[in-house]
Amino acid sequence: MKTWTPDASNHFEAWLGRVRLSVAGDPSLDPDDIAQDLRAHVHAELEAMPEPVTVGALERVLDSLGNPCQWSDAIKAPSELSSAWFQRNVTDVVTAWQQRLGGDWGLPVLLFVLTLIAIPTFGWIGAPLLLFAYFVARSHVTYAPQLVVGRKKWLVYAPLGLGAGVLAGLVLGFPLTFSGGYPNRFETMWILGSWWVLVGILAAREPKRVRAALKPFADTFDASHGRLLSLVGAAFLIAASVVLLSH
Amino acid sequence: MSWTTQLRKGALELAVLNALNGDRLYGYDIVRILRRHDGLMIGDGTVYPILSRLKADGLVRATIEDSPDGPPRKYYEMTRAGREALTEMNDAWQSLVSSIDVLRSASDKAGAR
Repeated sequence: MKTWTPDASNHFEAWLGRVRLSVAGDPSLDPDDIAQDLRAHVHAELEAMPEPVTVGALERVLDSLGNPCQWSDAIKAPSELSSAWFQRNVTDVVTAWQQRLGGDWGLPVLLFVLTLIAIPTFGWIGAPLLLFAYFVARSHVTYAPQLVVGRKKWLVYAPLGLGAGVLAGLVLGFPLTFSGGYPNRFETMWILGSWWVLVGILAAREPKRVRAALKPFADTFDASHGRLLSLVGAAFLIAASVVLLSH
Repeated sequence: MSWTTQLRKGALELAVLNALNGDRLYGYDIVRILRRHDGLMIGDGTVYPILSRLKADGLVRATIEDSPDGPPRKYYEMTRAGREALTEMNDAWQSLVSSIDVLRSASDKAGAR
């Protein structure tokens, strides 16, 4: 049997749930019977598709099945049934959230919430929270990339993006963290320029490590980017040296 | 709903029974047979409520079999009552088509005059 992305599976189950509701409006039909046939149909249609089955591929098959309300005059749209309305808008929504949170949505949501808390409380509380969220998010992206798809991806990418930004900032501004500030900005430029030349050379020699450290935001990073950073550092260094020597 | 859509819906039950005549097929097989004929289906899903209704009416029976490629498949075959109903429906259809053809040719002749 083909593997499906979690989003595609959830989407299909939600769609089948809506079909069952629609069909339930016609007493001459058995919703389970129809759902069983539809399940076999969709799987057979997707048989020739590449794995894993995505929401896009699934949508094309569901489109070819048509709108359940048009299958029979006796089939009503769920919105035409008051109990169905409650089922669709309240019970189903709550159940879908529970299923997501209980399944592979739980961790992305937790990571996103931790990131949201870490931003305003950045310091003794926020920094460890962000570090934890970043570490778990990276593990997720590296070792279970098939779970980081669709809308879920952005929940995992939030701590990753913030963490990668902080990490890049800490590396690039490393000399400033010790000094407590330099007396004038040209000295700061000189120190930063020297540091960036060094970091750029190291990054150009080991672009793979940079890509790994900033995954997945630096997947296209290569030696030329490291050399560019060195050049910028050198420009800072030269400009600051000229100014400092002239005084 | 357009006249064509209503006509298709009315004819589809007959088409499903004819596709099943003498065969044992699961839903998707029936859909594939009907797809080969233009203008029969509005959406592939239309077939499934019809199968469910035919089963409830005792015109077809279903048996579930495991599939190596996916979920279990429900195979349909016609019952004796289904075969009798199909004969009656095909006769009724033929009679309807003949009557319409007679009316059409009369109207064509009138138009030509």
